[in-house]
Amino acid sequence: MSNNAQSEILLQVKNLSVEFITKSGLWGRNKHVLKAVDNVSFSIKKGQTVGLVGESGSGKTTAALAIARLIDANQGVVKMNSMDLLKIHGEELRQARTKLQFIFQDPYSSLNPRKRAEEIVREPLDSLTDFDLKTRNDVVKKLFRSVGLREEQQKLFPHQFSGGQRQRLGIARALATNPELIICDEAVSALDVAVQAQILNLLKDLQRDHSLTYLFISHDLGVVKYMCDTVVVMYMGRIVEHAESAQIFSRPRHPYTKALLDAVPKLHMSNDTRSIEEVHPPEPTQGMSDQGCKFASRCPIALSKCKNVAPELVELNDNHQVACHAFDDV
Amino acid sequence: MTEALLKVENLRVELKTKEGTVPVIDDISFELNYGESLSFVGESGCGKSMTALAIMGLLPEKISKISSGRILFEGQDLTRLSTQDLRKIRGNKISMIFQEPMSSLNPVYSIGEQITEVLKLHQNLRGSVAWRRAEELLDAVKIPDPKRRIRDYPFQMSGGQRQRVMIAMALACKPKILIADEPTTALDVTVQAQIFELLNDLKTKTGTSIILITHDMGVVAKMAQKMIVMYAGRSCEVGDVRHVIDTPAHPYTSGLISCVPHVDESTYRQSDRITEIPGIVPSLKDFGDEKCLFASRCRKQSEKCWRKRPKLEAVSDQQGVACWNRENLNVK
Repeated sequence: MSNNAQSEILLQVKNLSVEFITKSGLWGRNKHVLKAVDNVSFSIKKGQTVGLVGESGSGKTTAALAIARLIDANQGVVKMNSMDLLKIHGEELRQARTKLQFIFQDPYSSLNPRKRAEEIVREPLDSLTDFDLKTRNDVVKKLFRSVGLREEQQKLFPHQFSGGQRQRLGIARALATNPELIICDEAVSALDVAVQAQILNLLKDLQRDHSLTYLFISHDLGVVKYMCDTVVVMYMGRIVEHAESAQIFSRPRHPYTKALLDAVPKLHMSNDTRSIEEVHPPEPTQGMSDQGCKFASRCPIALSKCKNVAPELVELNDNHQVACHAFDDV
Repeated sequence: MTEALLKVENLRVELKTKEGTVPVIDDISFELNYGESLSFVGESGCGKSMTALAIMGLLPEKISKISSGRILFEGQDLTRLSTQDLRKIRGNKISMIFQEPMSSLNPVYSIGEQITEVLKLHQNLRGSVAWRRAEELLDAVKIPDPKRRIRDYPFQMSGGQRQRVMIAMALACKPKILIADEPTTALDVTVQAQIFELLNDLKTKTGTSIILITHDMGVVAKMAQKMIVMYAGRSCEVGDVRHVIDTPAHPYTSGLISCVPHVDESTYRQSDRITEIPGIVPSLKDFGDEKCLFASRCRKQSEKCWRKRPKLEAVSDQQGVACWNRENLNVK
């Protein structure tokens, strides 16, 4: 699969930063700036899936929300189809939103319990497009079929669906405006294993049929391995490793990536080469200094300079980027 | 052969629903020996947690009851004990940790107060003696600086630390059995690995037997020696973990293994698909029907599956399966 359409870049994120101000002390007198997303850059090619992985609190979701303009970024450029999403307003933004949709983690709380399934799926069409009602309803009918729901289920309310079916509704809603990029934020984490497999296969089928591009956020590395072409590993707001999926899983170069992979329980004992004892309690504290590598306190191979000098993201080979002083020892 | 620590015989638990009484646990039997770990696997709604609650005597009153079968703990039938006698065992000789460490701790008491509560109740420890023991327990579950942290409240701790506190409470009375119901589902993989390390450690040190409830086959492979695959309240495959995972005989077991993408699988291509188990777990009203309840989702189903319920039969010394069309095992 190496035709030209595939290698075109759809989304380019450059130096994206999101800061939150945390307050403490009496009446919040002590203000502290928390860099939830710190100078993050990556790009997604058309028709591909990029995985965003890391522990909770690493800034995956914050980065995705900033890209979708659901929260404000402090700096950076998010280019989609040569338009900077962070700079546009009003009608332009409304048009851009049709091309970028979100699938949320929790299929229970992300659907309005008072609306019927068809209204939920039609909602993005109502607010983002100018089609007449009949066309919109036809689109909804088609969407129900393509995500594997039956036509008579259109009139039901969310509570009448199972978890997997609700996630199908969420997917149908995301597909409604015929988007190019879909951000899946832990889209299968809340589902049972068997249902998870059904949804993953559905996402892959839809990607093929509609030539969709995914930004796939997950903490399940098995799922990421199955879904993604490229993987971005984040730690405390920064990218620590960025490479093709095959590279990340066969030869991780950052000690954090390696620790994450080692921590996953393996099905076959022979593959279990873990040494998690070496990775010490993950207590990412907010007030940490910006100096040095943020992983240094947990890192089994930290050098003396790691505490003082933050490693830059450097290119090794074949688009494999890593931010570590000691990557040769991993 | 010595007697098993816990022996469950033909346990049947019935639940009252609008449609009538249905068996949510239907004829489950197993044994747990001293220092052994056993895992229950299956999708949600298959009766894994209900089995654990039945052992603990914590089944929701009024709507559910043990209708037949025995739960023998050191030769004593727990199903016949009075609430008072059961209370002496629960939290003392058999204790349990739950999935959500935030909601299972009381937010308005410090963790020291919550741990000493257990010690007061079961071991009659008071005051500074209890407090010191609680500190030791926190140290045993590797909470840094226990002398200071013991005064903390649950909200001041991270998810992994809260689960450690839960484990400390569960271990306070040196239980014979620790039941862990999805103990790491809400936690990050690195934290999960540490919690498992801790549980394994404690098992070797104290000889506590562990019953682990999970849906993750990787966790089973890592943590357990024996496993029971449950579907719709029945056990469909039982046996030694290595045998069952390497050569699953029930289509549901092999489905559960292959429907999850694993990191130790060879590289996936864009065109690859994982084998899915179609459909969902049957609704409660179908539980207890005289047929194989998995038939509607099974790729190997035959006419017989819809007519007659398969019995659990041994395929080898280490493995038993309830299926009419079980996989052909290449017995080595």
